[in-house]
Amino acid sequence: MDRRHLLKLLGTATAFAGWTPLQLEALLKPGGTRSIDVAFFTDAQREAVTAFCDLIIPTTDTPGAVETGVVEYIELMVSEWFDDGERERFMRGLTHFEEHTQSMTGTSFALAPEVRQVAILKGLEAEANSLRDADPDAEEEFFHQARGLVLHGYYTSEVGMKDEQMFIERPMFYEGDVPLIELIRTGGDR
Amino acid sequence: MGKREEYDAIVVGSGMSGGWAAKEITERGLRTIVLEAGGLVTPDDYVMDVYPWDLKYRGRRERAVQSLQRPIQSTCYACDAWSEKFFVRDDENPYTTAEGTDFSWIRGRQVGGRSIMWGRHVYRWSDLDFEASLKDGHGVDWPIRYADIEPWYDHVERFIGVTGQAEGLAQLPDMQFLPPMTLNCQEQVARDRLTQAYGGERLITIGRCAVLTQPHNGRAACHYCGTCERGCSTHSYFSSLAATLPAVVDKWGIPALRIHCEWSDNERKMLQEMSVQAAEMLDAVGARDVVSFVEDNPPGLTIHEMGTARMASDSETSVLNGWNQAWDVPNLFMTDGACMASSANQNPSITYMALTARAVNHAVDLMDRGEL
Repeated sequence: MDRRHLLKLLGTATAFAGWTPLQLEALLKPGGTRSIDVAFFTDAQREAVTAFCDLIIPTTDTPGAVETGVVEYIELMVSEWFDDGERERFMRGLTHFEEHTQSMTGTSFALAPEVRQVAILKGLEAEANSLRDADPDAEEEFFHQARGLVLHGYYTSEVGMKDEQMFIERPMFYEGDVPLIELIRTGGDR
Repeated sequence: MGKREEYDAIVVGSGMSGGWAAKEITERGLRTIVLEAGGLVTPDDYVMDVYPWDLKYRGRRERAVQSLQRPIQSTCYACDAWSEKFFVRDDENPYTTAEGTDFSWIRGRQVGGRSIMWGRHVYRWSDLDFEASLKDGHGVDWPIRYADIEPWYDHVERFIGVTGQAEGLAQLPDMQFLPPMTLNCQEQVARDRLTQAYGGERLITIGRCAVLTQPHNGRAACHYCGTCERGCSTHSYFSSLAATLPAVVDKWGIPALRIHCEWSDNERKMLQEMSVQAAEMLDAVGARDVVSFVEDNPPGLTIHEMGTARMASDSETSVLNGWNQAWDVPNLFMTDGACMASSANQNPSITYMALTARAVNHAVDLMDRGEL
């Protein structure tokens, strides 16, 4: 996004209300290196992302996304790894997500009752899916971006890979055809 | 100027073919030097024990750096956040292509070359392949047939260790096999159904790979960590570095190439036909909702560069004779992919290795007889 485009947006929309100077700077200085040592999300944004992660992969008999560090991973990827367009889309989507929740429930996403949270996510998913179906080449909507980050962050974490996926670093054997029940019984460790 | 060293043989490059040349020549007692433009790979460079959670972006590469340093190499499946150091930096290794053409030149510049991160699949050629040019009328006839190379396939396979299942196929001859890895349950079902659907004319077999399913020639059996292209500290897959190379290294500058390579109408038609056949076979084994597609990648992306200094029986139409010996320079032998008179569907490395061992044997015979 170029500076002129950004200024035009700033002049015509409230999309950037509540953004921190760091977030605006990230948009104004594309391609710069940013460090996770400096918090990128506001506390409110981080709470919303945390609640989102907890609904996508909750803690069950295996650890959930929040306790495996997925929120920190998302903050890192959004602030450093995303390109400028992806970052802008994510942050605008997050702002819209919070505003939408506020208008629907009168409170923030993190504090909304779970039944309302789920309804909001389902609505967002349906909207993102229909946009993608209409144009498969379109850039990813916020919901898909965020869910993709949760899944990648979780399944590349040590806990997610080892506890949930039964990943073994060096199995020392290869058996192509093993009854699933045997694997479940032994936790993959034969 | 330092002391003048004299060698009986100079091997240029330490990859798949260079490693074999060095091994075979030194085993015949010749004083040999290997020239390699790249640096040494040490056990610390192998990153098989580095996991996604150990990396800052969990295995995703910093895109600004990637697009600057390895825009071409990173299109190769094996060049990821772990293994990219085994691939050259495109910004430091430029080449050009003829106007209107594209070529993805995937390269590794280090001791061991691309044998460090190769795909490890090995399949023998048969006379179906060695006679293909003659029968189809493309290019020139190969100066050799399967019988010429068969003992050399045996020779290199016994050394490198190949896992696979003997099937007795004329078009894909059996090899010197270590025990095969097993098919999974889906593959077993697909194999049975395909065999039935085509009356035994087509079959599914487990991949044939230079991976050890049992200890072999002092190297450990595979531990199945699954990330071979990141290097293997137990040397359980074959590489020049792990198996063939005596450690003699030097540096060499290489001029930039201008590459002219295009798919012809024949290749495009084969691509379409492969897609049709693949869909037909999936249908035959009971797969549903089969969607066929054709991936139109630029030449080079599948690596396997072949030709440009081909072998033939006639010096007018080729650079090398049937022993990989240059017609114009009798003491120059070329045994890498450049020597190939045609390509086939098989991954070519095992054929380069066999041709290399065969050429070395012949060259040393000539030297012993005082003819070289």
